[in-house]
Amino acid sequence: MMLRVDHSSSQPLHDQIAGQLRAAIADGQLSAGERLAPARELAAGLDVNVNTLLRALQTLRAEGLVDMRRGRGTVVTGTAPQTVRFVQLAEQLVAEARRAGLSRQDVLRLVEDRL
Amino acid sequence: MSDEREEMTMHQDRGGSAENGAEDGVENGAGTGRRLAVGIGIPVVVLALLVVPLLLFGADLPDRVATHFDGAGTPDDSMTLTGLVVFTGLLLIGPGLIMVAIAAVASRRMSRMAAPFLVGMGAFLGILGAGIVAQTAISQRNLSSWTEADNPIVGVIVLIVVAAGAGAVGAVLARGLPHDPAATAFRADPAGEAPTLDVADGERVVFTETIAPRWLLWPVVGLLALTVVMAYFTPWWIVVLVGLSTVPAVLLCALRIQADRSGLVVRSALFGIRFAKVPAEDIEEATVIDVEPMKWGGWGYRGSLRLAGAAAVVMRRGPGVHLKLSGDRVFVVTLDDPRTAAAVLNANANVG
Repeated sequence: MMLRVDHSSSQPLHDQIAGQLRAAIADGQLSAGERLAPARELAAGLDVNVNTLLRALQTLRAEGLVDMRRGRGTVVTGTAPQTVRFVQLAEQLVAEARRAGLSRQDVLRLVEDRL
Repeated sequence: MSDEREEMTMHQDRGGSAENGAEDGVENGAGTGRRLAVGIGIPVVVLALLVVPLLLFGADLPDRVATHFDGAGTPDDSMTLTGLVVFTGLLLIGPGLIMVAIAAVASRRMSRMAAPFLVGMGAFLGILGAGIVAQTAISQRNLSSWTEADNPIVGVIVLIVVAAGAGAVGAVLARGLPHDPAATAFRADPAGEAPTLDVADGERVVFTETIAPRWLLWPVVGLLALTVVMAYFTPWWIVVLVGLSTVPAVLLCALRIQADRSGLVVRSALFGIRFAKVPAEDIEEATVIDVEPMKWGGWGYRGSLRLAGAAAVVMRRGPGVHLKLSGDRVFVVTLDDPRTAAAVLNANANVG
């Protein structure tokens, strides 16, 4: 599994990490029952603070994608297909919008108009 | 097994010898002294350890010497002195010296790994065998009967440590032997692709994978069972040694590999003990290869970057990442996704 974060991006690092992990779970790179590398080691590799990484993991836990237990580390609990699907679509939208040069307001308005 | 390796390296020798003629020529002069040190020095030390105590104390030994001890350290079996010398000679000293001799004579046709491995093993076996005889002669001299022999446990532990030390010294000595850079399996041109990815200035990429080969569970279970069974009828220290030997196997059962800006790290997924670290500065190129275990010395953690300039973590046959390192060194690890690992390492190498 590969994680990639951009320190110069305006998107918070913990958001980026959560997004990457979510995508990895969604496309099967990470499967249910698989254990993630310790937060300490991943954080060191990404040059981020351990707390930043833990924050990303906590987001995923709240979404029901991972389970964090003392001494057992972080385990992928399975895919919550719906959430993952929407999160991915949203990410795709944001990425495409950025590439097209749309502003934050543009994107928000686009979505809001359709709700 | 050494026969097979021999044949393999000789086979590859034909293709490589011509283009490496110049390098061999340079090594010729330096190699001769080292060949004498290994091929003559080690056997002399082993035989001296065998013969000197026999000359000094042979006459003072009882007719039969104690050769086996029960759990409490009381002798429970014996051999004649000749029997013991023949026994250790056939089982330990002979094979050990043959390994050393093969390495000294034919190292030029071997991989960089093979000679240190053979000499290390050979010196270990030789010193162990000669040491058993020496220790018996020293500790049982002046006894009227073998039944009076003392518990040899301390001597045995010291002997194993000394023999292991001799093996290490032998392996280091053998590093100076000429080898054929082309013959070696470890030098086999990976000819694989070297994927990379674009990494911007502020970006960080990390690759992680956990490999947990199921097949390793069987030897581990077997070793543990053996330990339990042995506990019933062998001295406690042998049980402890066998028990300890299961530790590396247990640690190898699940490995965690991480590639990032700092390089590549292989850890046991249990307790996070680090098996190997390859700093990014040392990595010249990462390529994807198909790992054929016998070409890399078998399964498990093979070789040593420090001692042999080549190491491989081979948990199965199949895809793996091949790292070409500075100083003509090589590191290989089997991975389900070697492409991504190689891309991350190459990207970081290019950036750094």
